[in-house]
Amino acid sequence: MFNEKTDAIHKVARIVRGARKQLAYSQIEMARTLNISQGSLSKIEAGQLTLTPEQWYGFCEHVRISPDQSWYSGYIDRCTSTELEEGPRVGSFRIPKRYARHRGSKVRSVRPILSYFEKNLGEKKLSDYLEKVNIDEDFFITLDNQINVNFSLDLLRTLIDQGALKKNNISELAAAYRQPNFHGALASTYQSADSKTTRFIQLAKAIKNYDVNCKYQFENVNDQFLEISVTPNEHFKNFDYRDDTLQDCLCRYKKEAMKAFANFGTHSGNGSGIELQELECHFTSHSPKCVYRLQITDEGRRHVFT
Amino acid sequence: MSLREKNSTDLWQTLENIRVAIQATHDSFAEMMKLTPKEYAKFSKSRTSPSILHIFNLLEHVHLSFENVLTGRIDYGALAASHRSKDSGLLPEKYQIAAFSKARTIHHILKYLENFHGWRAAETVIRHFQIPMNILTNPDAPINVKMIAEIFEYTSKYFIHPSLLKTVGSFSRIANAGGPIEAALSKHANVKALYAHVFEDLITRFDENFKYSIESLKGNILKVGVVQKKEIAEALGQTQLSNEEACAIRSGIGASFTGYMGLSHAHAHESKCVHRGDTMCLYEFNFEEAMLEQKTLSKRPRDSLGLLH
Repeated sequence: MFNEKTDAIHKVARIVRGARKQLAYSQIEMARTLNISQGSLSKIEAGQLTLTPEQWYGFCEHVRISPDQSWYSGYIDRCTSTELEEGPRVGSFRIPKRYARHRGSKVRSVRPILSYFEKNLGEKKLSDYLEKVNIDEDFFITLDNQINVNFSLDLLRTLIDQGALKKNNISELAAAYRQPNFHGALASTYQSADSKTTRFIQLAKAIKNYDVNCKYQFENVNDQFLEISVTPNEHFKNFDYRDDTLQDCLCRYKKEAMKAFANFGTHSGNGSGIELQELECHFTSHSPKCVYRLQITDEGRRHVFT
Repeated sequence: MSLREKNSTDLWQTLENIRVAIQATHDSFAEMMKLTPKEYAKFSKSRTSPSILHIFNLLEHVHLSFENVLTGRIDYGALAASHRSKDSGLLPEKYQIAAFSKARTIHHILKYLENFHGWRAAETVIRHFQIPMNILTNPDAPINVKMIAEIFEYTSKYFIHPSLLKTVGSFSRIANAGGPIEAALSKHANVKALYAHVFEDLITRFDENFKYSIESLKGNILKVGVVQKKEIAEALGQTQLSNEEACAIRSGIGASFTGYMGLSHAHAHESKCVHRGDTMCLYEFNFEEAMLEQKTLSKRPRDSLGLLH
């Protein structure tokens, strides 16, 4: 069990490691920037030592991240909106070929699946998995990093194959959308929303901070309901998601994620205060898009995560 | 400021200044940092650096950013005022001189940050610039252009990628929803009349730091020249009132005016800029798309906030 102090040390370690690799710096180069020895940096990255406030400030200035926001979120999160990315390199991170083409998913949208994997199959299995698919775990410290949809699909397939993900527990996977820490810096925005409707509108505005695999659009907004369409973009067709189990899983996951998000900031209650109707489905009926009608039955003003 | 320029002696001096400004005893200040009185006395006497966690513990109690504490760039008068009363407060002195702008512009940028970078990003800016509550609640509160330029520069450094500054400017359409600018501009039925209204009248009421002049209005293209007022630059002791970030944001704001009529935003291009060595900034707004929409879609229901697009 971490206490506040060790938690802080590990947070700094993680951010320093992630930023250094993002900049493709060696430990020697980063140590020189921080005016410390390479040995000290190595200990800082391992969580055995930590930076002084002066060093933290200098580090954040150098890598151009807010010293305040990075501290509070514990991640590197610039909230840049997504454009499709191509290619196998992000800083010194190497993305395997299978995940390097049409990189349209931000780490922000992948983290719920990673976290579910870790929770259900264990930290060791997740580490082994990432090692097997040849991705550095530190890639996932920067929430703006992008990977293609194959990565999420492979994780989901593995979870299904191992029996850790079934029809009846997809809501547990989607529950991450309720939890502020999965949204990074954007969480504070949702937290300040005074109603579910406002929160959904905010999510729609910020959707490119999650992915560009689909186009999300409000089809109808009125006093009674919100209608949102989700249309896969052209590049999405290059990915193999058309098997029955996976399609069913994706369809349920999207719906459960919306229900969970409606109850953002609460410990439980996917779907309470919201009625969700699927008017069209891309995954199960081959419609070009999914269309959801969200009827907010209880605006649930100001739930605060405590 | 580089790492080598600051050391823990400076940091302890800043902490001591903060303690005095908020009139805290050594013991209560230690408590704010979550240090025991003994640890606090030992650290401050030996000038040993506190931990990052101690600084953030303190920030739970004082209206400052981490960077303020580390650089020592703090208006202690404003800090003392904010500590006395969270509801009123005082704007830092350097932003009170030649205050010919309105707080509305700051509200706009804070709203953008809140929407796209999280409330915490907006809060960091509020703390860093020691913005008091009366400025946050009154869009017409006077501030100076130096403050606006510095906020744009700061947000561009940590939060908003420079390529998105025009988009940030365009967001003023959404940030101003329900306010007097929307009320004044949404009545227009003609794009050209709207732009004439903006640059010949409206803008002088919101920004007295620059002279705006319509240089030409041919077809769908409007050219607007912007020159800073010498007397304000002198009063602030600055050679340039704006910076590159402010110029880019201004392009986006100018492009968004057609949005108040429920039409597509214009395309903006800054063909001359004082930051590129020109004597004035020259903005070109091409509102061809809006003009076409005005002709063909005159009966289209308005969705000027763009939720359905």
